[in-house]
Amino acid sequence: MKRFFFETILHPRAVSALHTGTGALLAIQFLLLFPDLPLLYGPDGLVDHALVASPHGLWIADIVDYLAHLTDVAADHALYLLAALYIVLNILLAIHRLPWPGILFLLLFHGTWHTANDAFSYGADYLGASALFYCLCTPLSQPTCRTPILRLLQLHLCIIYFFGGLGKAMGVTWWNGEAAWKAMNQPYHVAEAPSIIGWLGQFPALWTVGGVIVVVLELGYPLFIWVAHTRRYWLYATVAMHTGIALFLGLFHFSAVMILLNLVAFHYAYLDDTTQPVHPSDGEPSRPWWAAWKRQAAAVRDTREGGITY
Amino acid sequence: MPRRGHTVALTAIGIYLAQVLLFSTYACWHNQLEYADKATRPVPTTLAHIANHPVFTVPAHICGYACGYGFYAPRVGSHYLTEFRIDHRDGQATIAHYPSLSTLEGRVRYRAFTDLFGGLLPAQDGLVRDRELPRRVARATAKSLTQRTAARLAATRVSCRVGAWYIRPLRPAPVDTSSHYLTLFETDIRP
Repeated sequence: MKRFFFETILHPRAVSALHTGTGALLAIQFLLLFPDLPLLYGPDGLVDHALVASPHGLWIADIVDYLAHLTDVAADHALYLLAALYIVLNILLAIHRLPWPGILFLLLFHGTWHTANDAFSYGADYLGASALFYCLCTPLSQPTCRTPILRLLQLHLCIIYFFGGLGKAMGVTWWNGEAAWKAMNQPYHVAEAPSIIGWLGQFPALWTVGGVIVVVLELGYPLFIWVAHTRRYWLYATVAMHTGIALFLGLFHFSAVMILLNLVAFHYAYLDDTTQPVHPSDGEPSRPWWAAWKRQAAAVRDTREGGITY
Repeated sequence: MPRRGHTVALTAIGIYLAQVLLFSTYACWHNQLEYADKATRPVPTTLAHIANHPVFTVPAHICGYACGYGFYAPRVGSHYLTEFRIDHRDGQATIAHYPSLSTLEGRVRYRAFTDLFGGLLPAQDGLVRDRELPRRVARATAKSLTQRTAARLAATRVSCRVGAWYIRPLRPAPVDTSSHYLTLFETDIRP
């Protein structure tokens, strides 16, 4: 058990990708949401907030109301200021300039926006919180230390997919394709979706195969992702599944977060790295992930030109 | 890391993973829990009580595993629909499904929000959970949505219809591929 958790080195490239990816995705998501913020979280928004009161902690709408009462700042302005703070913190995280107390604050701040009240939240917000939690547990100042966090993230992903698969396998509708068909035909989505979805409804066998593939992929994830020979293929298939979810269900952000977590846990961690040797004691400061790519490209160029390799 | 440090870290990891498992199990059984008979199936009900205890829910919401991972994992859509008919001051009328939301992200969030209208569904046999409060909250929410839409757009009249989406079954595949929805609630506001 101790060997499993404590003999692994979290590669600096994985840490870098986690911080950069999480910060960038959360910042982009919020920038895209910016025009609708007052409608969702403002006092004159879509719905009276008393009807969607937060049972799990301090919601951002409560903070905005409090700030508006306490100061002369208009509620919408207070909301935009808090949103700007959230975006700036995420950008700092993405460029590796946010120390761990800042990440802790960002995690709690993310909670006040999204997870303290789930009225206007969806899966991507919760997975974003998990990604921030793992950012908090993997400080950039010690990128090459032996840490159990990689194993924790890997096991967390296995639980996500196993229970996702189990929930699907317990009923019959994922086995006969009905659930996949319903997922593609959700309200709102239908009006925006290409008519090819309706056309594909003429081929039930296709949906059955798709549903079974999803169930097998998710149930098999905790097993085959650990086997060296199947890891890469299972990872590719999982990334393909999330790409499909993004394209056909419009859940771009959710899919991007899942792909990021998968790449951090099972791609960057298992790279056969000959360009950047990792020594737990060297204390080398981390670089952005693109710097590692540059070094890899330089190494390949040196090899072609008869130069040295790392 | 010294041996004591290992033990502490492993204990923390164990507690964390146990909580993730708890919430995932709860989410996986959520549908069954809704129809659970408390007298004959005490285990799922106990699980619900544990999962809803603040000691577990607060860290779960902060760390993001509170949503659980289940059938449509995790919480990616809704089968409820709102339709607003807006009569403007210039005499024109428009139909909208999203009340003024312009971004894809905002609309995805609104779709998750409409899960709340599940409270309007008629009670079924064997249902233990009290449906009255969710129904009242859903009606009040629909009215609030309509009132605020009318005020925001300065409309002379706004009607809102909340429906449950009906998806035609995959088998046998009919020629008609159109979907429609079943109206659950209607409200009409004239400010």
